[in-house]
Amino acid sequence: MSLLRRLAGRLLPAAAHDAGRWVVLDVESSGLNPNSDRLLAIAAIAVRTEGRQPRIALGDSFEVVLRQDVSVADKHNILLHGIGVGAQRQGVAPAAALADFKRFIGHSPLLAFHAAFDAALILRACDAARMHRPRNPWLDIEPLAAAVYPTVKSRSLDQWMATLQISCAVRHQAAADTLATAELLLKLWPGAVREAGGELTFAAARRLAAQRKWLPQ
Amino acid sequence: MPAAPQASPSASSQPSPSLLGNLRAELMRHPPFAQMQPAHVDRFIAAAEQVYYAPGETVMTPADGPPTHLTYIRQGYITGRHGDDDKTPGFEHEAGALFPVGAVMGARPVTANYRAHEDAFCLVVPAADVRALAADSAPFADFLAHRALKYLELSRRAVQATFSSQTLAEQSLETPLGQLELKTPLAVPPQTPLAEALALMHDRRIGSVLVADEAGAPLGILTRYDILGRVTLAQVPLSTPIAQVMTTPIRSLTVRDTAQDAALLMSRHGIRHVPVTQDGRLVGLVSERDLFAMQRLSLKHVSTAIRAARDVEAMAAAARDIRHLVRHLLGQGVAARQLTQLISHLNDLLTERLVEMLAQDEGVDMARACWLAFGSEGRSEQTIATDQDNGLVFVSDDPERDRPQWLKFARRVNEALDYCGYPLCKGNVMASNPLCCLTADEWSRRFANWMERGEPEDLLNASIYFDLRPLAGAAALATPLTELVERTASALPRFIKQLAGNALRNRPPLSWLGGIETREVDGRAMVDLKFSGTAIFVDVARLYALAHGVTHTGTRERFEALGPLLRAQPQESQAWIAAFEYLQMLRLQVQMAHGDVAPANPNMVELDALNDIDRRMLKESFRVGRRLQQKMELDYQR
Repeated sequence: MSLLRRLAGRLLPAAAHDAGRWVVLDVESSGLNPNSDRLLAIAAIAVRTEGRQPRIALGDSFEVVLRQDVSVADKHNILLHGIGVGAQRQGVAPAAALADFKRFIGHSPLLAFHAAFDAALILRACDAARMHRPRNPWLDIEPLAAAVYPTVKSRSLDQWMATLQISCAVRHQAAADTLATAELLLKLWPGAVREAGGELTFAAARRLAAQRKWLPQ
Repeated sequence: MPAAPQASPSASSQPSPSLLGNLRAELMRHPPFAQMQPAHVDRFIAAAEQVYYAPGETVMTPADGPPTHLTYIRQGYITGRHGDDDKTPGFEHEAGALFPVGAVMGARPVTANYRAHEDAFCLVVPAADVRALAADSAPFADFLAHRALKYLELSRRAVQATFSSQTLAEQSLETPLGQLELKTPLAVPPQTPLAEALALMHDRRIGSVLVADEAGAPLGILTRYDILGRVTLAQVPLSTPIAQVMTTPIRSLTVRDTAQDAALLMSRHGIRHVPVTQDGRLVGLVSERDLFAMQRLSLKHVSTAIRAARDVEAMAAAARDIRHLVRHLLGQGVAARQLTQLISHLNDLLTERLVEMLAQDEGVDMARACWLAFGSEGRSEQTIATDQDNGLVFVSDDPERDRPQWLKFARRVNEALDYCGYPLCKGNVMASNPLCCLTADEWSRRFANWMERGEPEDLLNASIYFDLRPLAGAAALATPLTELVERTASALPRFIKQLAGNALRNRPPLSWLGGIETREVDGRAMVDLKFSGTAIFVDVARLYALAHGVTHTGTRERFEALGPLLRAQPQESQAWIAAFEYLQMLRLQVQMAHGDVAPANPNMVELDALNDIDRRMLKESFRVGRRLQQKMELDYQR
């Protein structure tokens, strides 16, 4: 890698990415506070964006449960995400899990519904494991959906799924939620292409989402 | 409940096992995945990419060249249409379907324009992966090779799976007790005084009382036979709790045990009642009499009962047994052809016996007459809710003089049949109608008239009377009639053409997009399985049989004989038969679902009440019917 590229990488960490492979992900956590709760599991799935239409590559998918050393479990949340204490203890050591995750995502841009939450948990987990944070660019699907359907008042993933008639095999299972989120992206795609003026690059998608954010709600 | 991801302690997983698991469960609800090994289904999923088509979006066209992918529909509809105009009929693929199988396997372009009809999520699998998987998975390969016929075949295999000639010969004692209609037993708590328990037995006229604890677990039994020895002779005061005299431990069976187990237990221990439990709780009581009643419901017993019947009352009881037997056999998955044949066979027996009995009573000589069956009975394709369609041919040098006595006799037979549960024919196609009680000459003139004139009413008559079969009396008397139909019809192209035109007025209920069209009845979307289903097959089979001088009256037998004559591929004539029999079975299921009460319209089925595979087979059957009609149109309408 040339000095210039490395320098550019420092200055513009989100610039270099795999344009044809986007990764949609979802995390399960021990609670709803991204600054204090623990990362329990990550599921991710690749969406191929080159060619006539985006395609969810089912075989190019990933899941991992992170080993938890904390013995006290939040029972209430276990009922929601379904990862029991046993499964949490049997998970993969966080450093290995996150290394696998980074290998899986490669240089792909990362997408999630309410991405800030997923990003915060993953980046915090990297810090805790004394690992480099992944520098992949992030995109929140929620404002993108709002930009494509400006009149729809949906906020949560459940509301968007209901509005766009997407079904989920097992809600609050990271893998199933990820597929539903990827399906949401596929459904938004034609409208997003129109809004972006004919071609939806990752940068264009980010512009669309950002533009929506600044509009008065 | 959310399912936990399958965590593996050493490494993360790729592809995601939870994702594969969810999709595998979804795919395995449909053929061919239901028949495949889970590992092969996983391979299909891992090779797949999921795409989205917006409503109206083009999915595939002939101009695309050979398709590179096989498509599986997870959600939504894809419709196909040949050509660009809106007039040509199309077809419809729904969730669970794989397409375009022929084009992918044959590496040729598709012949239709495919379009998403609503929001559609599809899995697309590269053709190379499809072929590689087919090389390893026999059920998958088999499905790809036979697709259309496959659905029908699967259903047939499913209904025949439990069928064996043994089932027809004798009522199966292998039936689990849970499937029998068991009596709800009288159970009392253990501390109940004898006086109270005996009073209950007396009031309800029952032979035994069960003792159960609070949770419903059976503890013991006291039967009428025990009372003499243990209560009366032992002079036990009637204030004694029943627990002190009951028989324990109790011999009980579970709902999963069979009638055979119950019979063995009874004979081994000389007991007459066996309590039946489910999860340790008492749910029923099976008695020796119940098992005896089961034995009575066998083909052999029903036919013996019919032959031995001495009066109309006994015949009516036998007719009820026929219906019970059919319901039972249908429940055991016996195929439609066997069932309709069985019903017709037993109805034949019953009619024969009635004719014989009443002829003796009326003093008429059945050596000089023949009782004829028309319509569905003539074709041996009776379902449960079938009206009478019959007639009489008699020998006479002066018909006007002899007719009244035959009419009087026929009226009694018709009324007796009605009493036995075969309703009088609304169209009056019955031997007691002077127009249906004729000499062979008179019948021949009537038949010839219809063929010459070909008015709508004549064509309707032809469709009922020409499916004719001698049933009781001198069968030879019917021969001139069958021969006339056989010889004359094929020599009258005009009549055949008129018959074809008449048959084409009734079309399978498929929309131009290929979906099933329903009729709203009481706010429910219904399909008429007879009028827009079996009748189409029956009409086409009759027309070709008449045109080609085929003498069979059964629709299946007609199709079998016609296949080679019409130069149809064996696969094609098999599809005609399979589709027809599938529709017949669905009719029987609808009729049986209503129990002993005849439903208002015994041939209507609610589309939403059908499961996925039945709905798909119904559509496929209608499609076969449409192909048959198109063939008939080509042959006789140009």
